[in-house]
Amino acid sequence: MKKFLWALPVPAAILGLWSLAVAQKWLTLIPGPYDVLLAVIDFTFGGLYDDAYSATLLTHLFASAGRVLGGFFLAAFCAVPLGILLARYARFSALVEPTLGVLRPIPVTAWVPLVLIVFGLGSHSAVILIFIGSFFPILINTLLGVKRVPPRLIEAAQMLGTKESEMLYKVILPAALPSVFAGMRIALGLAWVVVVVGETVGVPNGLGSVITEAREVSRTEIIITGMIFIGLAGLATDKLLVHGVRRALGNSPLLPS
Amino acid sequence: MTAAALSLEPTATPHREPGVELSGVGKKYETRGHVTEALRGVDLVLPQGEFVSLIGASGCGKSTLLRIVAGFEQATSGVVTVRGKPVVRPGPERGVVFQDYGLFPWLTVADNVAYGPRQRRVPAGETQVIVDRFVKMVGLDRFRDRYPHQLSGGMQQRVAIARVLANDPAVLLMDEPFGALDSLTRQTLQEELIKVWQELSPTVMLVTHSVEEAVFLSDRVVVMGGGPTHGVPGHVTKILPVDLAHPRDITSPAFNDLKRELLDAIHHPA
Repeated sequence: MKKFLWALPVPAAILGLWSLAVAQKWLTLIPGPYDVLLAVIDFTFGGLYDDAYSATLLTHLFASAGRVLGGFFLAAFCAVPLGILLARYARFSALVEPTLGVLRPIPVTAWVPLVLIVFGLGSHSAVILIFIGSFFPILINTLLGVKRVPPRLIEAAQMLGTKESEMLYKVILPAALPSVFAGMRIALGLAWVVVVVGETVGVPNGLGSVITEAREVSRTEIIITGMIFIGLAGLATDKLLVHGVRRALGNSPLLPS
Repeated sequence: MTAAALSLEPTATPHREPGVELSGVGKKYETRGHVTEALRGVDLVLPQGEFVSLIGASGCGKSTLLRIVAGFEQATSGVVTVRGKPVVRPGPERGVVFQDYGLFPWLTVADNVAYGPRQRRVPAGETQVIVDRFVKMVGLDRFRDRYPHQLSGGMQQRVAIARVLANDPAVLLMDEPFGALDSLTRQTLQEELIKVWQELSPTVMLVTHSVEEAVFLSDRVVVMGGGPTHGVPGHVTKILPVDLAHPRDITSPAFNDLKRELLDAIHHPA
């Protein structure tokens, strides 16, 4: 509760300055907080304006979240095993790492045209782009996490009777977990960036398409509303990931609370 | 190195077999065609239950020797046997206590201690009894649900000792186990180690830099010398028996005489 109270002054100050700036006409192209609040209410529940945006929050939120989580989990599913293999097998690493080294610096935005040509306009392309954006942070962090497992822990496990076949599961993965998990959180944050990019072209729904279309019809309060919900959704999926991993793997002290 | 050479009957009872036997143990490293000889011709027999310290200047190969007995490294010549079986890899009958503890940071104290028994597929109920016993033995009953990072260095090393004891090891291999601890904690742990050793009587090989620690703990002190920086491979220069009853008084004249003798052996090898 006390922590909650501490969180309030900064948003309050932003709202105050924003109101003041609009009232004093320092900002003329941006609606005030009250107008945005009405837009948030209408976007969520409807009943105020009855336009194309009224009560459409859940449709857009689920569309975006579905793409984010789909692309993210697909990336995690591929990148974690690949990272482990790269860290553990020098021959495999020699085979694959140079190629990955070239692919990695290509920004997701540079992938957009090619992905659109290959997968066409629509949801698939957004998921593929999120996959590409999420893949490398998870891969790199998994690889480093596994490589940096202290040799001492391996020795300790060996002398305590751990079979080589169990070493990965009993020692290497638990020891690398904080790094793998950090990569996942970075990737999930990035996935929300990419979903907005992916939804700017040829997708009829999703929070990214909402803010893109709202700009075309100069509905600034809808743009801000969309931004607020993207922020909240990103926060929510991050919390879900943290809680999910904690539920799945127990109360490891190596994970953030 | 055979049983016959030690004049043991073929049907020797387990406790009369040597706990650890090293014969002609040598170790060469090869890096880019350049060969370094770290150890040569180490012969050492530790009866089951004996407490032996290895001491000597840095680079004399004492830690390498311990790691060979542990199975982390392979001798390039000679043979190491533990209770008659050649050492080829690390194993739970040879518990290792490291200077930096090597605890699993994602496991609680109790789970760290339970790790070995669980790997050996000991039934859960039995594991619980083992964990209770050794967590109590090292005085960490109140901290069993803590994680390693919540404990002091001395407490972490207690956990590391309990963790290997839970595997009921024939041999305890300790590589400067108290080297990172302050001197008061070190003394307490030395006294506790002696109690544990007297109760469970494992064969102990302990690498140390401390003359006092060696004399305080051991039945025999193995002095090593040489090393690649001296142009001769590491080797045993002297073996000094310590015939003092436990608990030993570190301020007694007899203790002091042994310290002097040991220091002399380290600094002026014959």
